[in-house]
Amino acid sequence: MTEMEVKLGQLTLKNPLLTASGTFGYGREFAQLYDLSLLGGVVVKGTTLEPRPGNPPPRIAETAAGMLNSVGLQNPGLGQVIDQELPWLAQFDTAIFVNIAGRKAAEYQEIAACLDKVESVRALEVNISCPNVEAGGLAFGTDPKAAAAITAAVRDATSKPVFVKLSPNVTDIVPIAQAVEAAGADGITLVNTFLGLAIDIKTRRPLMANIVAGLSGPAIKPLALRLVWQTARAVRIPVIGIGGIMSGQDALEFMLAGARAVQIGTANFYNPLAGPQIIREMAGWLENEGVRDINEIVGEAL
Amino acid sequence: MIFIENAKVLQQKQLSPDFFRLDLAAPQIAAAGLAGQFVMVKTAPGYDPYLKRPFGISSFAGAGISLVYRLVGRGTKLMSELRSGDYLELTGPLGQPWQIKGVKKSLLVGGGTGIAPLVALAQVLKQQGAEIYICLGANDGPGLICREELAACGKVYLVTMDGSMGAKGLVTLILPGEIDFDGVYACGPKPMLAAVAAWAEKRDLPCQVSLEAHMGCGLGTCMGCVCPVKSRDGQAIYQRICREGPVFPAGEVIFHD
Ligand SMILES: Cc1cc2nc3c(=O)[nH]c(=O)nc-3n(C[C@H](O)[C@H](O)[C@H](O)COP(=O)(O)OP(=O)(O)OC[C@H]3O[C@@H](n4cnc5c(N)ncnc54)[C@H](O)[C@@H]3O)c2cc1C
Ligand SMILES: Cc1cc2nc3c(=O)[nH]c(=O)nc-3n(C[C@H](O)[C@H](O)[C@H](O)COP(=O)(O)O)c2cc1C
Repeated sequence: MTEMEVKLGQLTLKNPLLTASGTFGYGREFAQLYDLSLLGGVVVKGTTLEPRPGNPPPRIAETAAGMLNSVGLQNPGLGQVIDQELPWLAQFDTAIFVNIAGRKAAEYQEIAACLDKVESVRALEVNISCPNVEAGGLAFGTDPKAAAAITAAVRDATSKPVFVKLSPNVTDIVPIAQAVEAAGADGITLVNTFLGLAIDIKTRRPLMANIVAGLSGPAIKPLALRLVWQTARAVRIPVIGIGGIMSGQDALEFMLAGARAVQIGTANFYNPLAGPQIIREMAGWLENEGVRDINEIVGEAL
Repeated sequence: MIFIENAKVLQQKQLSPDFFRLDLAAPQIAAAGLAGQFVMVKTAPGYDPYLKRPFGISSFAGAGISLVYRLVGRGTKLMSELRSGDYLELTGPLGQPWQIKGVKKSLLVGGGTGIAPLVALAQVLKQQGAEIYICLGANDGPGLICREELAACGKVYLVTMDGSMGAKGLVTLILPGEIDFDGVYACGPKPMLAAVAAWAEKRDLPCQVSLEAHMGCGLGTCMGCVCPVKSRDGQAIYQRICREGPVFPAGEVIFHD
């Protein structure tokens, strides 16, 4: 059997597959379909200090081999996530990452400080890349200085590993990745969704109430893979790759491009059993190739 | 409990130029499902179309369920090409069912594709001995689907936009004069639901409506299919049609934007 355990700095995952923020809720629905302990980790929905109503509907549009969403971080707020969701999810033997978002650095810091005290939380994923909110989100993720400032603020507030989730909606990912690394991030997650637009030919208007939306799914895989590869070449901290992963082969491509772990998002909608299936496919392929330890292939294509 | 079942197609029947009925063997979903719930259907093996499609369970029969659907786009076109012996991946049963406990005299109002999920409801209401009045509306005669199944459960009144069958106009035209219903159920286009909800509210009748929205996951995780509803403190909040719905108490739904 190929060794599937991976290390992301201080953090050890039993295997490199996590489910991506916003595509898995808090795991309750998927727990009816399989044992969440099979997963390397679960990244919960973007969490804000106060509950957020999210954007007006419609929020979803199908695209060729993918989808657009403009959910806008609808979530019940940090208090309920800590009191109700995390204790439930903690029954599973899987690494809990909490994805956090705020309007300003102080808000990110306050959330990080609260979560620092929650034992079940293994790492924070700092969302500076949500395309669907007005303040914060993407604005922080497209400027190296702002990205570094948020990273430093969170770093100061917690002793837990801090992963910063970057936006693909930039001309050059490298300076942002390097700024985040210099500001103390333990790792980088990428990509969040690509900005897109859908137009309703019947009304001759943008389809989504929020007008722009984030594109995800297999359509974005080559774009995401390129960004992961460029980032992995430019930083020393571990990179978690996301974007259109649908199979074990896709996941291994991201690891060859330098990702130490991967996340699956939209694949969970396409195939609710994708998580455990992709882990099996990865292990099976490596086994066939005679690879003893998955870590051996990380970054081979760099 | 949610199941993923590879359902065998028992029969595909064309009901009208745009309507089809798929009879599927899906023992787990059939055993666990309740009237008003829906399934997500994977219409193609590849990524085109990519997302699953939601369909109300139209009726239950032993270890099987039936879906009655209108041809709309690519997904339903692919579904219409399925033949006996083919397989179709379903996820379900999903969402909240109709509340039927203790109901003795019911009014069911269906418009367009919204007629389909009323069949299972009429069948369980009949089983519990309820009186059933059914008002159906469609664009034209062939759009008045499932008439026979529904007529076997209760008294059916019809209306069409073009007047080709039943009265001419909207289904609200034929809502009955009586007001002693202890359950009003509506499924159809949003303006129809709003009209039925207002009609029921004026007469102080308990009313439930089944809503639709484009869905990402159908499971409750993506927050894509929300609609505004009144929370307990009277504020508008977004709830998931796939999870808190598709059936909502009509009084909670905010119909205007
Ligand atoms: C809870 C629920 C129950 C439903 N039950 C039935 C039923 O019993 N019979 C029936 O004919 N239809 C029903 N619908 C509508 C059905 O889901 C759509 O007609 C179908 O998804 C169209 O798919 P398509 O690929 O043919 O169309 P396309 O227009 O090509 O689909 C493109 C995208 O839009 C979505 N979409 C398009 N129309 C609708 C719609 N009205 N509601 C939700 N998503 C839509 C599709 O799912 C897909 O993601 C139901 C919808 C919901 C939410
Ligand atoms: C419906 C939906 C909601 C999402 N919500 C969040 C979120 O709250 N926080 C976040 O960092 N990313 C969010 N994402 C982005 C995903 O985590 C992921 O980065 C993106 O979808 C690309 O991966 P995929 O192609 O595998 O889906 C969301 C994506 C979708 C489709």
